[in-house]
Amino acid sequence: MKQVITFHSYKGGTGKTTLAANLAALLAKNGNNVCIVDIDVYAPSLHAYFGDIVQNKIKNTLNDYIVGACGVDDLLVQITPIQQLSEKGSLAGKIMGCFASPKREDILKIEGVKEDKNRMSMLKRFINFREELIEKNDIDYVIMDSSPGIRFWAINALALSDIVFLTLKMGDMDIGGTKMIANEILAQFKEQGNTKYYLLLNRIAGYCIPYLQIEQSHENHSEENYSTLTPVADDFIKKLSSDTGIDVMTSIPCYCDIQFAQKEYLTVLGEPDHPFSQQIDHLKTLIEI
Amino acid sequence: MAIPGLAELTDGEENISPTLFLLSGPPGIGKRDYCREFLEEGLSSGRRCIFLSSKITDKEKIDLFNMNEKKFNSLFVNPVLVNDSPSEKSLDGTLKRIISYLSDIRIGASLDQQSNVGTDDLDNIIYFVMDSLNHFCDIFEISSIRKFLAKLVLQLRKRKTIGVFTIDSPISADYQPIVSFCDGIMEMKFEESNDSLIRKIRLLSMAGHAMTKPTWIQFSIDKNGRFTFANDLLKCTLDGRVIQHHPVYYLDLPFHSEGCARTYRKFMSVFKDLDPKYEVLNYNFCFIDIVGLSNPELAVHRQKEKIVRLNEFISSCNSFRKVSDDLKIILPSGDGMAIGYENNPELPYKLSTELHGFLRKYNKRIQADSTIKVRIGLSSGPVFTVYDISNRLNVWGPGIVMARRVMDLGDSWHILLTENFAMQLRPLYEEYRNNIRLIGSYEIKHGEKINVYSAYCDDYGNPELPEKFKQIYTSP
Repeated sequence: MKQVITFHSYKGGTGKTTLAANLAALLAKNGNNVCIVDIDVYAPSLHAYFGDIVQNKIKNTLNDYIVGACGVDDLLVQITPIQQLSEKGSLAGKIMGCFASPKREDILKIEGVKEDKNRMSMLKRFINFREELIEKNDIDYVIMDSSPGIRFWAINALALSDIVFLTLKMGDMDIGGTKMIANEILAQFKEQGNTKYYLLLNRIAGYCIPYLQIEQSHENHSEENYSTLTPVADDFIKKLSSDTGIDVMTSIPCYCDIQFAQKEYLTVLGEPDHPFSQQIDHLKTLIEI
Repeated sequence: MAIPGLAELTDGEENISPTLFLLSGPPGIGKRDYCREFLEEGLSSGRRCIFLSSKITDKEKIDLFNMNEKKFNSLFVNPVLVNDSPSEKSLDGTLKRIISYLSDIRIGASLDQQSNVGTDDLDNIIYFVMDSLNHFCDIFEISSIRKFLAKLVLQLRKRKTIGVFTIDSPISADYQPIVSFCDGIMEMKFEESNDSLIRKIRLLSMAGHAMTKPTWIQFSIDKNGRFTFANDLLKCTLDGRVIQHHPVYYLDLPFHSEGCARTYRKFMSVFKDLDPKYEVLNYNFCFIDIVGLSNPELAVHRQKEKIVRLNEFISSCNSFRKVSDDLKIILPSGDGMAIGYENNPELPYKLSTELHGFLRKYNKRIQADSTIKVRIGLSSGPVFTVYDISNRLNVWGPGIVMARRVMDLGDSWHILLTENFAMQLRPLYEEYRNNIRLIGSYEIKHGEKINVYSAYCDDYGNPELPEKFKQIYTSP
């Protein structure tokens, strides 16, 4: 079944982009055709995971499509061949990308619109975006990296999705904001049915082994080395689920080697045995159910 | 429609000014079939048609058009058969026959309308085909053909002709002098796709039309020689995309799929301030439905073909094409469409009668499973303006709902009218008073009882009582 999966959060820095990029790569590695979409139109960063070659191939952006300046096919960037050359892992499926423009004038084109008619027109193009992407391009999964908060394009991304992962860290502000999204936005969407929503606790405080030690034991990653310092209590998870009406699917520790890496990279391809890769594999299992 | 696929080739143009087209393409791609489709369109709309070919005989011509000599009520000439042996004299003889045929046509009248004064220029257009220019060049001297064409083109231009001259591609440099007269150019080509060959066509130029971006359009030819163009499904597009199947409606807005409609509902649940603003207008509706289109025994390509044909016939009706777009609105309905006219209640009625005329002629000359039977409902009343998914102004309200309700009561060929609509028309002319008759009252949805009128005479409508009414009268 073809699905649109969105990673969203109330606050920034919850790891949406890392999760989205790695899930897309893992799905492609397993033979699925995946399109990854940067709908974080206010601060796009997804392209960083796919290197300079991909960045140089971006001719049209999602901003262009939304204002009617190009079609879906014009903004798709083929990532797969480049990825296969630059990473250890090989992909059985293919990855394509749709990227947003970081230019101020392009952001204003789709965000600064006040007139209802033009906003409606953009929404309609966005509805068609999903259909065209999936129908015309033989895509199994569309993975969207949303912008944080309750903002116009974030809400649109949520509306377009079949599965939503609401990522949050353990801070009070994250939790409060997530409840707000769940109760003010997703509760209304739920009435329309068919969309699955999951909470994803990410970057849970944990023990980080020093970088050098990781280098030395590169082939010997294990969950024990990354064991969480403050395990998430069951009663907390139950309360969070109850307050939001959404199940907590998993708790992912903060892996400092990924968090503070000099450069963004796809862990699932470069380090398939890394515990983070196993967490992504767990997410993959969830969406395949 | 004037040339097959025109709307697709020109991005929406429905009619063209008189133009002589050169159609080039590799052998076997279907140039002659295209010309047959073009001439059949002319024949079915009562135009004068001329078919010139040095390749085929009278008998082959009849097979090509799948109709007898009597039905092929136009001129066919094979210059090779005009004289005992092909020569310049044969071409002169051919030209004489064409001139004689043209002189029989009183300027300002088409076949069906010779007694009709004041017809529009477009009604008098002659359809002309010259099949395989290269074959002519194989038989006759090029200098003779040049002279022949110079005289022929002059005659055709005098009589406002849409013509198609076919030639094999690539066009030999020797043939360039004989193709220079054309003021429109179409090209066909084969393209490989997934180990199969697909056909494509494009319009490079056309008199009076700025072709800024000629686009290749895929087409196919079915076993009966019927053309289907990639973009000519129901001319209902949402945000520029053709709907590939029956649209899904939410709040009377059409969507490609239930998923799209659901996403829209989600948007609207959050962005309530974006709800369309309503304005009330009075519209007159013609709701047209193809009877039996969704019959599962009918192959999908047949269903599609019927929708395409219906679109073409509607587009050919004067009451449709002569009314500017800002005074009419077209709503797809899956099995047909609703056409709403602002102000004039006569237009939906005229559209119904014209359409019946076209369809009756068309149905007589095609196979039984391709016949198109319609039922039509007419009503007028208030509608609200809304912006549809393509951001175009659209309407919905009691006016269109009643047209649909009354149409649903009919069977094949019925033109049924609501009472308020009938009452607007009947006082206008004696014809309307005589042909629009009360057939009874019927309880529709929500227990509402309405009086229903049926319009019929020898030329249109169905004099039989609709089945639903018969059941009322026969039930105890």
